[in-house]
Amino acid sequence: MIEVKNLIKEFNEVTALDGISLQVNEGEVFAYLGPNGAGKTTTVNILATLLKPTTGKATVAGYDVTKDDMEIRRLIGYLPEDFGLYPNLTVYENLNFAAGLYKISRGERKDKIGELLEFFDLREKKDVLASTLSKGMKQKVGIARAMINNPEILFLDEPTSGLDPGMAREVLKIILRLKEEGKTIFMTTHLLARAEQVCDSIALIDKGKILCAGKISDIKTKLKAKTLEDVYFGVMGENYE
Amino acid sequence: MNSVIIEIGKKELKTTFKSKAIILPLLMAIGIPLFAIISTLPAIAQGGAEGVYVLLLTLLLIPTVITSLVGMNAFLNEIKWRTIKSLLVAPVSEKEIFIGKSLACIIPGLMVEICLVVIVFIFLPIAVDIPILIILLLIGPLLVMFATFLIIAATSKFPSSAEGGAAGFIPFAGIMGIFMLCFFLQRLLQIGPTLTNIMIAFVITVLTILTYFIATKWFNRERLVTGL
Repeated sequence: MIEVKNLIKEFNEVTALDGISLQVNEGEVFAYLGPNGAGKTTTVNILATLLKPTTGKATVAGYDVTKDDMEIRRLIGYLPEDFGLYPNLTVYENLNFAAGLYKISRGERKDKIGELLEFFDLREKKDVLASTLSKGMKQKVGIARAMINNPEILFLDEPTSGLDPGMAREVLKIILRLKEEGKTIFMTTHLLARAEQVCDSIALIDKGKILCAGKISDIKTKLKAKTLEDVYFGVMGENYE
Repeated sequence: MNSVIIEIGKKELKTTFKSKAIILPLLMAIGIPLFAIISTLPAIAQGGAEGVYVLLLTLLLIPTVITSLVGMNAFLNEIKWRTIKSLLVAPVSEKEIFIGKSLACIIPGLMVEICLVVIVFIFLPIAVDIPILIILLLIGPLLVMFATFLIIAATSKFPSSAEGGAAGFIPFAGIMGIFMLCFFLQRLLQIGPTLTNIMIAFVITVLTILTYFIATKWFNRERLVTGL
């Protein structure tokens, strides 16, 4: 579903991604792990067609990120790190605008937004301004917004970042429900224990290089690690100072 | 018109005019110059038609101030609110985003322009002639479009220029430059007010078309995403 080969991204003199390769299969929940500034968001931005790679190849659902950006945008949902909501619009208005961008007809829009509000338990917050919502609620609305076009692939950039444990658990439950619906989910996260509960495979990135990637069970066996946290600190080793 | 363009324009108008921070400057930008100019109009009209033409051209700066205030925030707010990625990740072309945002600047500018025309026709104590019609019905709307494209081009290329309001002066400076050039040519070529105003309208039209193409060319997703 997602394939990345030798991807390099340079910003002026800085190499943000240094020849990364990875693969995500259809219907998988994939966790992209690494410290701040490792290159996680840059990778997501390239796969979501927000940035162009300097060299290398990346495909999403068979479409090339450099040539078929419009096709990819129609297929994916994207949750940015900071929710991506207009603070002075209500929850409904935010979702309505997103629906408009995907050319969802007015009649269809009402039903679609209603379904999402129901799915994310946001019906009571429908007319509340986004700026007045709690972080957890904003995150839920952000994911609902990313789901407006019923995407096959969801990119979630730090979906649990800054949330209290209860809300983080709720967001991860939502991710599991989306997985049950057959969505392919590519997420970046810092919560290793939570990632282990919901993810099928992972990749660890640091300083723009992939340190290890694959199925969690395979990596754990290979590294003789009990938990994902053991894998993380085992692989990062002295890098993680 | 494309539904996405309308959606972007509607959202832009909604987010702009829901913000209390913009309402007061907008009202002041309309009210103070309008009061000052309208109150001096009868006195200036007594001095002859040429003074009225210059005054009307100055009056036309009001809609462009409105346009600039709205346009300045078109990309700045998307960056400030961190909504730019959500917008750019949708299957929307650069052109649709640009035109949608421009529409949101042009509409309030033109609405103010229409109000000005009505006010001027009511208060103007001299007969409305061709130069006045050119100023109000041609140069006015053209200036609004020119200011819109100029400010959106500048703030999408250099988003930081919108911070602190510096970008608001760009259209103002551009328009003053055009006026000064045309008045200089008027003196040099010794031409009448009708021809001068046609010349101003022509220069603004050419510059508006040029700015539109430059603005769409300058639109850079990567720069907006990274803020570099």
